[in-house]
Amino acid sequence: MELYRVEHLTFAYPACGLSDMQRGDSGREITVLQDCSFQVEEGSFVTLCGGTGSGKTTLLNLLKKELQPVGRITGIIRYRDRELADYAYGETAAEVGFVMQNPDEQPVTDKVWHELAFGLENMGVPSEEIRRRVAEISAYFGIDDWYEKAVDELSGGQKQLLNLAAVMVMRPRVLLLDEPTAQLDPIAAQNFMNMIERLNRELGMTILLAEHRLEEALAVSDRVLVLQDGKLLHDGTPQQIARAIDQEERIYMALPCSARIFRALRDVGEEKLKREDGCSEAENKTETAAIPLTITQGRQWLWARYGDIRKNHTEQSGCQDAVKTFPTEKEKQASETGDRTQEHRKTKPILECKQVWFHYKKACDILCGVQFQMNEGEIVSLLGSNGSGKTTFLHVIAGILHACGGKVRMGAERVGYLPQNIETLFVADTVEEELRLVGTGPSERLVSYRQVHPYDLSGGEKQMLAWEKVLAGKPQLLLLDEPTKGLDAAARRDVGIRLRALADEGVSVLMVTHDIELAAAVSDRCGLLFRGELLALGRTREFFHGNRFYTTAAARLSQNLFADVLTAEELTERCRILDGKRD
Amino acid sequence: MQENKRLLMRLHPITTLCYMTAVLGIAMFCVNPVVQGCSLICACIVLRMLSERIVWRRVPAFVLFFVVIAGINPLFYHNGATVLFYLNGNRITLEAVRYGICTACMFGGVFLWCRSLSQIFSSDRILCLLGAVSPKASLVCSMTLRFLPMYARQMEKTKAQQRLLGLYRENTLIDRIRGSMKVFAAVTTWALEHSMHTADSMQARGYGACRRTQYRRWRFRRLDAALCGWMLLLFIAIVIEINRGSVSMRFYPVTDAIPFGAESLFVYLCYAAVCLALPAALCLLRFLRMMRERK
Repeated sequence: MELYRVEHLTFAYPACGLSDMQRGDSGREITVLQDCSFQVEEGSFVTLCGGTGSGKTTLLNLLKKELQPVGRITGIIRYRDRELADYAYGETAAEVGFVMQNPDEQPVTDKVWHELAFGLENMGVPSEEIRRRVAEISAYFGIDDWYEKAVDELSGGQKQLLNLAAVMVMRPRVLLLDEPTAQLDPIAAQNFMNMIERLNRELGMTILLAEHRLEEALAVSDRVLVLQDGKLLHDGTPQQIARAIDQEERIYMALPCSARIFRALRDVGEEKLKREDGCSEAENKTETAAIPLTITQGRQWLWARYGDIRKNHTEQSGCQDAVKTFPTEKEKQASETGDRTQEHRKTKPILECKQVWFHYKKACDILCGVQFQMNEGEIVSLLGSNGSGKTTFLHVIAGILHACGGKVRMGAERVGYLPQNIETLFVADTVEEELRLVGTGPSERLVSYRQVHPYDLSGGEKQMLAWEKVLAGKPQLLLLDEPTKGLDAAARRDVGIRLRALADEGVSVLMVTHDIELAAAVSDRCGLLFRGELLALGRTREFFHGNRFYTTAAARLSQNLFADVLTAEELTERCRILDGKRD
Repeated sequence: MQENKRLLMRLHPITTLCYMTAVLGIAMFCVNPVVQGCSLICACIVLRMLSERIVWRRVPAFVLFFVVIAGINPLFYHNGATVLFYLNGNRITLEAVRYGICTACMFGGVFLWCRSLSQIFSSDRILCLLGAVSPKASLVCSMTLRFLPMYARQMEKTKAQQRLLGLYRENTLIDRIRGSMKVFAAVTTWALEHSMHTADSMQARGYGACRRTQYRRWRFRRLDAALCGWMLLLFIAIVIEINRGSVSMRFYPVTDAIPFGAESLFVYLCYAAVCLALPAALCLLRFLRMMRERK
């Protein structure tokens, strides 16, 4: 059955109170969505993907009567064969569940059990019935253990699960989720995705998920809608989408690693095909084969394609190790980077931590004798799970907290710190004033927003302002706490580029992150923090090769097949060389 | 002990409220050394029952508090027939000392009762009781309790961040005030922004769509009814007896003998029965559980 039918939906915000630059061409309003048409079948899992500012959130809000933003709507939104506009306020409140992006913003009440009951209380459900439903849902979600707790004591992942449960308890027919995992760490995000998948599989729940990370979502969804700049670009199965997204599009970067490698190889093959106007057997095979979307599928595909080469190689040389092809451009570059690191070792250290210990009053130790040293112009990434002391370590270095034992010797005079929660950086009423506080003016990209309040900026622009504010003090050492949290793939790549540029200028960067791909792409050295101890600090390549689970997608894809691969680009390069050899 | 606390948490908030009013009400308005002593001892028992262990470090402070309260009365109040000695030309009388000790017992008892009852009276119990009177007020309180720690944390984070950016660079009072004002304004803006999202979340879950009900987490069980009835009965009896003056005492100018007639004895026993109702209920609960385990 059809649950939603959207026809030629166009939406525009009224543009009052914004500067001329922002208003766009029409002058009076900003068009956010343009002529979107699609249907959502009951029981399907639909992923709505698009970069930041593509209109995902607006589209989702429009589908929920109670959250429809103020503005001009043209076109038709039908929910269960009736126009959404005809429903009374609150009529669909229970039927259409909505989970917001920030896990902190959705909870209304102070206790977990009360939060679960809140929606049912609003619907006027009698107390006995509430008791039953709340019990049922907490059993299904496994939240009995923290049923009595205050919402404030929960971790981000738990809060988001609670938000989902608090919506599910109202027994909705469809779930709208607005980037629910963007603010979570990878493990909590995976947990959450598993729960959504389970709801879809076990209860036949219809799911419409807005997401900019496609690694997990693509594999589980039935249909994918791609939204860009307010227009619906593609609509199809994950296979079709993975095939259809153009390499030039912003969203291409968000595709899973295996799909991108497949595409990179196939697209070259296609070009060759066009040139030669002929068709070899191997290329024909790639043409009809399904695009691998998960690591498992990707590995199977890679083995089918290159497994024989590995076998020959092993037979010839008799070595059991993975294939090592001759050094590529990349590797040469890598060794050059290595040389550069060597060079830096000779220069003076910018930061030295000797046996740093830290604990809060009466609590157990958070940092247990961290030994760490870093040189000028180096980028160091520290990875680790939640509660391993990553943020605390940064705070101790920044001087927000004082070490209980050991020494922090700072070689830099100016230290910049970009916190995880960038809103703590903003204290002024306008962008201009904000930057004047730190002694600069707005850069080119922000100049049109001079008079705008920092909170009114979009996510990407906020990030921009935060960076400018932190960099205004010309720091010699930059401390970053999760610089890519909540950013889409393209913005994450921009962060990487920016970091490399800074390092080239001689700025040292120490970041703690969950973003393995970023750490692998930009850092000179990486380390793992585990229960307050710094382990396995080493050059990026060595660090990731020592890991089997905690490593990049490309490295996991090519395990036992190619050694020494870290990024998708490197893996593509390898495959191309092998293809060339075969020809 | 956690076990005891968990068992007592099963009781309905109304029962806890009845207990608290009866125990504290009588202890505060009946000036009689036996009643006060009984209150103090029972408070100690209940506190011991609820807390993990005796915090010996707190004991001297409590004794000091007791002595100070007991001492204040004779120092400032000089009526009474029996003069013990003169201090700076002021009479210190035996009657004033006796009254002081009695008051100290009362304060000490109330203090200990509050300590132990605050452990049973969690915020959700208070909100449940408030909800019975006004569901809206209860919801607002609950939202406030959710919001305040978040606000405090954001404040703390913003302060630390701004210090790094050099907001409190000069360590003068004016600079500090200016900095704090700025942070306060910024965090308030953040709070307003946040509350907009909370409002969205409330609307999305149908707030205001129809008449709200209130989820009552606790059931009023037979034990609750028995306890409430028991305490109400004794409370009424005690109040009647107190009104008849069977336990009242005059301290000045000469202290009466402590009343020990049949009626006064009845009042003392009743009060002890009220105070020990909770420990008794606990014993009963544990006993019942033990019996169930036997089976």
